[in-house]
Amino acid sequence: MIKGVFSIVRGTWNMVYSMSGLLFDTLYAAVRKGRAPNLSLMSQVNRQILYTGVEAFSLVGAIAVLCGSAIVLVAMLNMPKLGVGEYFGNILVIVVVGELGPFVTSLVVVGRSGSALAAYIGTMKVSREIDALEMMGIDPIQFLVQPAFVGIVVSIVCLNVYFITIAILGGLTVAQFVTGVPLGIFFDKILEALQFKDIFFSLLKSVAFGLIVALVSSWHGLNVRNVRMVPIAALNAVVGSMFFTLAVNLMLSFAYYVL
Amino acid sequence: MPFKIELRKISFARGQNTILDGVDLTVEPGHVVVFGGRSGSGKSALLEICAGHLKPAGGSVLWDGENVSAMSRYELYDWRKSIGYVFQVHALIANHSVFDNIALPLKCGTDLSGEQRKNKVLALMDELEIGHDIMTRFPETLPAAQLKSVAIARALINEPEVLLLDEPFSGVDPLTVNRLISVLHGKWKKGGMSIVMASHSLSAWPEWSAGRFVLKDGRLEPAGNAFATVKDLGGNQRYNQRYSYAK
Repeated sequence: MIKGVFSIVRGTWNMVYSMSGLLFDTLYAAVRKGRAPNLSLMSQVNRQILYTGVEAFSLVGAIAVLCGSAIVLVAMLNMPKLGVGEYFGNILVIVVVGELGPFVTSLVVVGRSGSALAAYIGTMKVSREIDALEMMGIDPIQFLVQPAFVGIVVSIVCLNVYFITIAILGGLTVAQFVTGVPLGIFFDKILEALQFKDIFFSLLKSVAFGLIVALVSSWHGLNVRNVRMVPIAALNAVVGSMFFTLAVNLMLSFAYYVL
Repeated sequence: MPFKIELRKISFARGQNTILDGVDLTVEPGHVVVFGGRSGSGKSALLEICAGHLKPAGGSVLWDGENVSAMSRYELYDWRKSIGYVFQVHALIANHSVFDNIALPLKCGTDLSGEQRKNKVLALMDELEIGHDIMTRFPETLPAAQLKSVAIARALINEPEVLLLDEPFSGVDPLTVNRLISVLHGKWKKGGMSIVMASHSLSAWPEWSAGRFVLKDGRLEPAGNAFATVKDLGGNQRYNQRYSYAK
């Protein structure tokens, strides 16, 4: 039992250590003196943003309307009964801006793009495309991992802002139909409650989650050794990204209340 | 200028199987070296060791006297800008078109403009008789012979100083093989690049090669002429005559 726990802890430590090496390599590859020009970087970043961000817009929009409506309705109908109706704006800011926005968008990106990225890099590894890049003197980290990092972080940040906007506007619109209370009254309450700190932490979480998804997925893809490992890498990328996202979310939420 | 490649007492094993056992090989600048051997004899491993991609279990690889195993990852990448490598499997980037695959070393290693890159790629495609109609197609839609031609084009586009070819003509029709050999010959004569080729197809061994070897029992032995080489590889006289391996 103790041996099993010890081996899990050691395995996780080795994985985190190796991932931090990949993170360092990715950052170093971006600033290293004498690095070769990569004229395909922008096109690869654009492609990543297209797959991760643009193509997820409709899904994130639908989830935002559904989540926003549920939260706004529950808050509108129950908070006055509990005698805390005046805190409606604060609750919405805390739940939607602080927690749901960054977390739900990162979950969507993990499910859609994290697994796809791990499978893509893993397949390239198996078909020796990554070896071919290295033989051409092209750093696979600069060529594959860097664009994924930039594309996924930009996508998650944009999706987060989009999610928050749609969730609040969509939720209030639905609530107006149900309760008949004018939209503007509740909207003013939300704007009153919204502070710079809320927006900063929401965006910080998005950046952190984007880095986690890109890092964990790329790492699992790069560690594929044979074709049987490709689906396992995709699966592990989703599980690992979700685990680290939740852990970092907890840390950042704690930091929000401490600071 | 091409650089000198030296392999000293190279040994390499996969698990318990010894693949290479004390291999010595020197490729002088501008020389062409060819080696053959049965499947699984370690030809690909030897080429990848030459390119600094595989780490030998023992011995050392020197590029112009510099020890490859002492180089950092980034130093290796800088050296490899002047090496062209063709894999036994084509290893073309699957989500890049034929044109983008050939242009990749230019895009990720030079400051050439889009127009200059295009002109260079098209000129090489013409030389290798790769039709412009397949320029926008993706690798999975191409037959084996065209994949090999594209892979060779990608290796040649940077005008490498050293060209390493791993079974470059397997699955390629004889006409295309002749064409590719004549292009390689032309480039070698013009630029004086070194060529190291692994191929079990003796008919594809260029006559202009300076060194011919056979990998046997983990060791590299001089092959002599192509006719004798089939015997070295375990073939027989009748086989030689039937398939006209030797001139």
